[in-house]
Amino acid sequence: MAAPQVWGAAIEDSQTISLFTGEETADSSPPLPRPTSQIAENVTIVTSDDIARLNAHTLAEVLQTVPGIQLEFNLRTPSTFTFFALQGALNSTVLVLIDGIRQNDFDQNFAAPGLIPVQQIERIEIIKGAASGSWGSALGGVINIVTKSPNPDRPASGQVSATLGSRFTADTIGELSGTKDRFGYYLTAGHLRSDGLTPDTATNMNNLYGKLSYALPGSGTATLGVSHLTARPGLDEADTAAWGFVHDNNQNTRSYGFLKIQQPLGNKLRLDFQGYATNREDHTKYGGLNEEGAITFFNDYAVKDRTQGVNTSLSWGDRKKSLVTGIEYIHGHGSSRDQLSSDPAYYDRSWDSFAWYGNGSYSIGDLTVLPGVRFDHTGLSGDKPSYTLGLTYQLTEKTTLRAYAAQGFSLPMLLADTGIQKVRTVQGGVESGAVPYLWLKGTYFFNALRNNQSNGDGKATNQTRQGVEIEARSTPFFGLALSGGYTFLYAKDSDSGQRLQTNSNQTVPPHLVKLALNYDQLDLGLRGALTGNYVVWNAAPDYPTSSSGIWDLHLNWQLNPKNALSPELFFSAHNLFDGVQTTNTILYNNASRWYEGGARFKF
Amino acid sequence: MRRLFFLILALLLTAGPAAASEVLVVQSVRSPMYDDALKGFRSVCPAESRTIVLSDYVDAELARVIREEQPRLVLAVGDGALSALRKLRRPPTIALMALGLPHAPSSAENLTGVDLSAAPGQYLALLQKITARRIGIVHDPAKTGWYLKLARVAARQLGLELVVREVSNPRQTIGQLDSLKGAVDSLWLLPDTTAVTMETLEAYFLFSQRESIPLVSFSAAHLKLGALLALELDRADQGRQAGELALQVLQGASPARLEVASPRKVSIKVNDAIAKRLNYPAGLISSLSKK
Repeated sequence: MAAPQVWGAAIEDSQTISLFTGEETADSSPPLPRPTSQIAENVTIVTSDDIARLNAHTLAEVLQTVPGIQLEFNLRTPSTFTFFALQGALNSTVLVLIDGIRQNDFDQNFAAPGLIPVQQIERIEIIKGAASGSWGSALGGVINIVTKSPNPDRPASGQVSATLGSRFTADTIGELSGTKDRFGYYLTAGHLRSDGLTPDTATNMNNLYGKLSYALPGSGTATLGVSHLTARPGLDEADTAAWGFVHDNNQNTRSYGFLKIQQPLGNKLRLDFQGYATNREDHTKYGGLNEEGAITFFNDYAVKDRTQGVNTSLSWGDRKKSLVTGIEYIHGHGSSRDQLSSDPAYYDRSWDSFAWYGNGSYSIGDLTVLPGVRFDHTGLSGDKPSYTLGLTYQLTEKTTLRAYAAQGFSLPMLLADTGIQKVRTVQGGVESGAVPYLWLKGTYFFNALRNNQSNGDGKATNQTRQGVEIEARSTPFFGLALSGGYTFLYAKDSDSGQRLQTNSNQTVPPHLVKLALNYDQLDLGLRGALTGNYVVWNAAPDYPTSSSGIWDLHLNWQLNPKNALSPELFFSAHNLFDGVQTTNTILYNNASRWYEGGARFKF
Repeated sequence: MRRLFFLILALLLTAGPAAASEVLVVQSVRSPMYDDALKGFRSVCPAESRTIVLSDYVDAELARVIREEQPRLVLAVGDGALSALRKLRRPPTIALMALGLPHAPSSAENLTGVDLSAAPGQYLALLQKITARRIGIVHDPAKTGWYLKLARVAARQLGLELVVREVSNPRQTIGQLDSLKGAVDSLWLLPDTTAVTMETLEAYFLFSQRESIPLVSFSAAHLKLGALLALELDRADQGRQAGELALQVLQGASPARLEVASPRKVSIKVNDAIAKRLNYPAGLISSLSKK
């Protein structure tokens, strides 16, 4: 999406140049939407500006706008549970990292995107396809979240924002950030609540995040961070009493802390060290009505895991040749049991995992070769080597060709260990700004999966998934810019040769379309986005899906655009045409049309 | 399969670091003024580089580019580039051709550079030579407050009086200029994008003409508009100075410990017609421009 502040700054430069030379700067060529990426994988970047434009509350709302990603239940109440698929890869095979720390649980390898608030996010990097050569258990891809840094310009600055919407859906956020001499800090707190936009999805989520940084001698940085989140998002099955139960709510606690040190060691060598600890506890309660008609719980499934880990890496080199090598160690403990039952735990185990990795880049002229290897002693499911080989070729100043081959893996669920999941992937594509007023990216992908574990019954199958993804962005015209993405997927069972259908085991939509019309007139203080999402599920005959298009409108108005501290009002209308887009119309319908509005104050 | 694993491992081991260093050049707009400075930079610092011109893109995605390129040094050319970069986590940065280069570097900034203006003392020495005593200045404290602070120190040392008028938007400039009537015997034009715009520029020269006082400017382009003197900077040499700073940073020096450099090659340009009209002795004027 656009970042018009750069244009504004360029205008300021034009004034300076005019003052010094007495001449106007004239640049007649139309600007390109963005520079081409020079890495081999298919990567999409989402920035904090994009997030602010969407008035998003959680990662789920952001992911829904990314080409190739599809939420299964679209958006119910913010923070509620949903599965998602990345080019047909189950969410359990997509590694989600915040500050370099794994957010997926070990029970089902699932990171709930509704439980990741976006207020502290600076940037999201979405790597589509196997990325085990760098990241380990990441068969389907990686969602790498980089958090905000202390404001280097001021000793104290911040922002408060408040949103109020349908069904008393309210999000209140405060941020403080600044730098004084060598010390920097970034602190944020947020509270999200709702009476529930769909039945029984009332929610209450609290988030605290803090980061302290210290500039070390020799251009190094030490950063200490903590994060704590609690949430009670309801589930959506209360009306299914005919089934004999009410599936009432979840309770989630997520905490982590880390110490990160980045220190240059001489000219071309840099040391990165990170130590961290995490704690996660999820309760899912099932209940029903007792004889007096009150809800009573039958089960309280408690899934807990704790990890302590160390990552350390050395980076050596420059753009022409570079090498990053590192080691990772995790000590983990996970357990799962029904706390309302005297049955033994489903599992209760500890493990130690180690990994070594090396990734390099080697450029000869316009060709760059990107090899990578990684060896994982998983501690849970044996040892696994992974490797990648990427190539990029700068065909012209505006066009880059890329190819990528990799072998990777994902861990099986602790809940149902069917052995390690494996993938071999090949991708090839082109990214270009050669067409006037357009930026285009096309990628072909082919994945051969072995022992691929399903979401539903946990069974393992062999599959091939291949397809094409096309992304486009236009140059703004009177502040309006169009962007879009289309993903075609053909997935089949490799053993039977049958085309796979979307059902409780997998989500394999053959057609996925994302559209966005963005508006930016920063001199008027106006920005906005109209986003659309359309999916064809190719559902199994007995599977209750619905695939209406979902359109959202987001408008932002900064009252006095000349003053950076001026308040900004915002308004969002979600699901404008009341569509239903879900893989389960019985249990998990998305929210119908709803509205919210609010204000942001910076200081 | 194991063979392929070891093949890639072997390829990886050949990817040791090369001798070339890596610089990411982030340039606000395309301009011959910036090209001259970059030529100078590259003549001293021949490191491998990639250039991103911000005005070429709707969204230059600098954070992504820095992450992908992993440069060891960033050269910010122009104020737009500098302000975009200061919002990011980035490697050591050298600023060139930027009016907004801070003069109180902190270790958090990881930034140094070369000034876009000659040191105040050089202007004031010149004004002293043309017998100016009360020097009129219109400026925006938010933009050139730091420069004026240095100027006041230099003026005190030379026994000169600065008569200063402050503006916070260009509309105030003409009124503040008028208030200098009869209070000054010379006018010093600062490179201040609030106080001096293409719209208000003419007012300074009209004031100078009406009051029959000399105007000293930062750009030789202003001589033909009515300035008596201008300090012209050698852009290529400013680039070379940035290149020298870059070499020090690439050899491990911290930018926070490298002082912002003042331009060192300054030439004095004179409008002889104006000098004649203001009745300056020919010998005085020619001695200035010979220097």
